[in-house]
Amino acid sequence: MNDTAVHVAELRKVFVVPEREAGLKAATKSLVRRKTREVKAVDGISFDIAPGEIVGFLGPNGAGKTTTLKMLSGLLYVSGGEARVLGHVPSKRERDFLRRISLVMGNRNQLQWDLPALDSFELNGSITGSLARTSCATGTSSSSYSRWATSYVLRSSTCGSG
Amino acid sequence: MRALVSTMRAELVGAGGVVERNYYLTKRYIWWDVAWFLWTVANTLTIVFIAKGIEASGGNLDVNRTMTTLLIGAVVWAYLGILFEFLMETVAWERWEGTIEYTFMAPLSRAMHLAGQGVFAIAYGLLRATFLFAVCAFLFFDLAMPNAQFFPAFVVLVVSSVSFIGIGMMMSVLPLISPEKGTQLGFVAQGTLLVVSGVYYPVSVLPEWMQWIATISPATYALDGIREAILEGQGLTAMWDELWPLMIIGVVSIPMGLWVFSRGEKYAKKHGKLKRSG
Repeated sequence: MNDTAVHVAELRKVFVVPEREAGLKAATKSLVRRKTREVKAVDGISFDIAPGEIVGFLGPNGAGKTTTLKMLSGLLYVSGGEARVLGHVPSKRERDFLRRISLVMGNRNQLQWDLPALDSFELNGSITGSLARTSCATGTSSSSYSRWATSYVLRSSTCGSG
Repeated sequence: MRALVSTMRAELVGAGGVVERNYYLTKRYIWWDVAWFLWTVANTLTIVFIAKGIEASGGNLDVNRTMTTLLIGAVVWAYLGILFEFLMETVAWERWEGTIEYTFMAPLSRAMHLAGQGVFAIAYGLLRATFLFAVCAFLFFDLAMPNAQFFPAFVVLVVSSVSFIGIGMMMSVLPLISPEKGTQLGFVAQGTLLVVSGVYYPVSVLPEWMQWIATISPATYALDGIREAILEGQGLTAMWDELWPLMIIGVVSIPMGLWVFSRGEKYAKKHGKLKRSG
């Protein structure tokens, strides 16, 4: 166990989703008696990843890749099986665990849409600690980087913050 | 001991990061804030002019006093609206920004995350409420407030903010457990406080069952206290009847708000609601 960075054994995630037909009658009926069904998003997978090992995690849409990664980062509770990352149970949200992991998802934005990238980077730095700040300070010495870093991620502002 | 200090420092730095983000976002959309402020001024003037309208149509009333009473109601309600908006939209904005997963993965306790939201909301709200009051009272109407005690009024507003933050935390869980209907339910809860808390009329004119709800609304005590300070010139010691309920509601609502939010977060993590789209 000690020589694995990620240990996954028989990991399962089952979502209970509402099932309802279209139409007003069905909508009203669902308020009183709600039909649900179980969807197996991850069905008993097992693997180990060693420290420093680079792994590709491939599969078709709906295979449960993101669900697995969310369970490994503590964003989803597991329905069954075991997941340990760097010796921690992810769902416990231990500070030492959270400081040492990161997750970059497709179609997700780690930068704030409404802020220059540099502000977002500094923000992440102030939350996660000095490492990001150091990198940020080093990175801004390049003029081309600076131009990119100070541009707004979302250029067209059509929504207000109230 | 050293580890505890280090953890506390990291938590405070993290909460500061949340305040910093809200500051950046406000700065980014400053013209929207100016527009919203002007809108709130217009809305407040409309309400305060009602007193003049009643006088013009033959009503017998102390116009200056009624205008001040209405102004206090409008300003406190605008302040409350800002606090609830910041707290309630904690989750909704993160969804819109697409950062919800990353924020909930940050090495920061939920208490400090929500505290960061609350601290910024109070600072920003107090600033806007002060400007709103000053612009309407002195620029537009030149209201006479010979007995006004502004410091005690300010203290009541700050003390009541703790309760409002606690209630806001409870409301902010709604979009977390129901991405599609949560925000709407939050507005219903906010609207209930508006009706029962005596924002523009005395609580005594309400039906009895509404008066009962008013006794557990911190806004009722905040409005009474602020009106006593500004209209009657009461000091802090004379306001104990308003301050102790506010303190009790604050002491109860903050832990309750954190508990409710943590239950909501657990539910969201079990059912996969912690994601960008519904």
